Amino acid sequence: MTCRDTLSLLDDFIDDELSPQQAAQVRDHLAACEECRAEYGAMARVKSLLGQSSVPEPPEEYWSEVSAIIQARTVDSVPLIRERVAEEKSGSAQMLMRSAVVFAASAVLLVTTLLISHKRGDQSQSANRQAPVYMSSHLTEQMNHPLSDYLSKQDQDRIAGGTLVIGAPSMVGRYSSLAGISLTY
Amino acid sequence: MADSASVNRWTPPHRNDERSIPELVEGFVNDDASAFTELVKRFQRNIYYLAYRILGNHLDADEVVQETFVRIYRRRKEIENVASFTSFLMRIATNFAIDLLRKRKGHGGLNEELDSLSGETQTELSRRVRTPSEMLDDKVTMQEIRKAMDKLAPRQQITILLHDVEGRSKAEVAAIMECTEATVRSNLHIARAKLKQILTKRLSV
Ligand SMILES: [Zn+2]
Repeated sequence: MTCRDTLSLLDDFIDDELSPQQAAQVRDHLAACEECRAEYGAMARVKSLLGQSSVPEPPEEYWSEVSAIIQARTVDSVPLIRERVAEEKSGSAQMLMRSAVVFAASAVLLVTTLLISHKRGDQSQSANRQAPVYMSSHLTEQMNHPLSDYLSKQDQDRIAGGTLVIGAPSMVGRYSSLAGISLTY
Repeated sequence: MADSASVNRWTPPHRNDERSIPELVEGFVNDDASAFTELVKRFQRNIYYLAYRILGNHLDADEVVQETFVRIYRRRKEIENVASFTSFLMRIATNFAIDLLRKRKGHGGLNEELDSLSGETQTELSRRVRTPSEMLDDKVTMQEIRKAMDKLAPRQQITILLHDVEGRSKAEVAAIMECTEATVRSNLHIARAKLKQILTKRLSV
């Protein structure tokens, strides 16, 4: 087997997809040819490195929180919109969507940076924030602190008005595709 | 972000719950909300890991997870069977991740340039590399792999992620990427050759 033949079979050799005969031929060539052996070594090394690469695990709470948000954006949002449409026949679609999403998401939500920035007394950043942010009600309770410890009067008003919701520290996310809502963090 | 010790490869979702994946998919297509919720629980990790590997950060991975499920929910009537559910789901995820990746990178010249690496160039490259296996030692960190992956064209990147990183078969990758196995092979070959080149160069500099 030539070097050219060997190199053309290296991918399949590495993936263990050659027939036993072909694999034996490749092995024989590699044993005899230093150059092809070096090439094989490098390719096999790349594949093995890739196989070992890992992703940092998000905090365990993330999985239930993101499930809840997906729930709010799919299953829960449809009947809510229908109810609202039936109740009040006027009102823009965007407002309906917004209230549906915010209502559904009130069981959910997030934003560490918001909490952190308020703890630090960094009010200027939040003053400019136009987009709604989410927070989980059960997590708010767990925090055992009145919102006033964390939030400006302005943001508390926005919570009351449904344009701001806050949530778990683990749940920092970007929700660019929520209708009528773009979140910042 | 906690420990990164675990090697989170793709694994078939747990089956220890009451309903099997085929039953859940069947329910989902027929508007059973609880089936959808359960499918989200079982597949969210697979999507997150894949998206994180493509985009390299939590916020983007989170966006891909959410958007993928929102999209498949809206398009659930297009699902024909269980097998098509998994590849449809992963296809939505990879396509959205690729879009995000392109947005993040802008229109780059580097990828196109690397794309045009011919077979000849690759052979030439391998000739230049005298002792590649020595250079590609454990000093190649995961971060360096990430940076090298960033230089691949999106479809090559996804192919090598699905196949070499997540350990999926060529048939599965072809189904997700909506291409032939021959295309998977060729993308894989190009991607591996580029990664080898980039990683080797990085270490010798
Ligand atoms: Zn040779």
